[in-house]
Amino acid sequence: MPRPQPVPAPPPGPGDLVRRGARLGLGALGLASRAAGSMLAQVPEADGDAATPPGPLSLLPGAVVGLAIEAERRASAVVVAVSERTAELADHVPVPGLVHRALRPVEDAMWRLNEVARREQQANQQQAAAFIPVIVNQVTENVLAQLDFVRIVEQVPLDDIVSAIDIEEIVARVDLGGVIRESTMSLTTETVDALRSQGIALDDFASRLVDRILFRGRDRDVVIGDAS
Amino acid sequence: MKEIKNERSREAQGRRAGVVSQVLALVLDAGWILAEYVVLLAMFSVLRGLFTSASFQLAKPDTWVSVVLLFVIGVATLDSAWSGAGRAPGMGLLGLRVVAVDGTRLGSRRAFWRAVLVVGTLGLLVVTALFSRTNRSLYDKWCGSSVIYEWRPGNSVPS
Repeated sequence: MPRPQPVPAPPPGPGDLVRRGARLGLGALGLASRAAGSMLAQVPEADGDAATPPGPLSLLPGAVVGLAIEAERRASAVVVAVSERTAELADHVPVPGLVHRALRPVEDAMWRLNEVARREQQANQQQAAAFIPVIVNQVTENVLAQLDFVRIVEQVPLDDIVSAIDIEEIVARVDLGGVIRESTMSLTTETVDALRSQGIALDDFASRLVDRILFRGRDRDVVIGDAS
Repeated sequence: MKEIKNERSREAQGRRAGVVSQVLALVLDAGWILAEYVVLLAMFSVLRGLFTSASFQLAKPDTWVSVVLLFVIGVATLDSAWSGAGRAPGMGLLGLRVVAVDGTRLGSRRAFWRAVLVVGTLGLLVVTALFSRTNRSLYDKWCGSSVIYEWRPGNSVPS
């Protein structure tokens, strides 16, 4: 019996979690402050004075972020050290056979639950995948129902748009003669092809009739290059 | 080049044409030759009216002159058509082409003698293609030619 597969990889440890979360938060904070600074720098001063050179006070935000990074490093080091010590301690504690035997049913139960989780997760994911389009459609319908299309269309300057369109320019760009010529040629070709097809059908009919009258068993040899 | 929609017609391209198509093509070509004859007479009449005191009426030559004229015009028309594009106007309309027996372009000498035979017998011997196992008339057998379906020029055999 194949052994059931475990559910996907476990989440990162507490040390990793703290470190990544802190880094992401600080990174996002830095990006936001930089973007805000860039935007504010583009706004001209009302009194038109020249920009003053940066003083010691402008270093305060950077110093705060640096302090936060240092605090995060210390905290994550403490978390990692504590978790490693705990794991080492657990490894050195002797586990008697009695405990192993007592834990066996627990392990079996965990494997069963794991298998149930794996199966159920597949069904859950399928249901979720089917549910997403329903939600999207529902949201779209609700949004469309809230829109006042008449008001929106009324606000569109149709007269200005139409007056801006140069009909003569558009007509000049379209090769009307070419379109007419192409369509006429196509129609003529199809008519002539239909006439020729009738000719081929009549050829076959006449050939079969004569061959039957002359008691010819074989089909005619009409492939070019094979004539004797 | 527009594709041929009918499957049977598409498969027939490059194969020897049947007698009905050949007869219809010859009838159309005969009409074309007659039209050329009438145009020639009209041109002659106009020139005659310009340079003589005769009235502008369509010339009515003697019978033997008409026969000779029709023969010459017919041979010239068919010879130039078959040794060149391989098709006269009637054949072009019906999508036929005259080629050598191996599928290559018909030589000018064969084209000439085929034109002489066709015009000399009024094309009546084309009916013999109906009784041939290879759809080749007596003209084709005497001149080493074949009439094939070729609706789109250069789409079936090497020229």
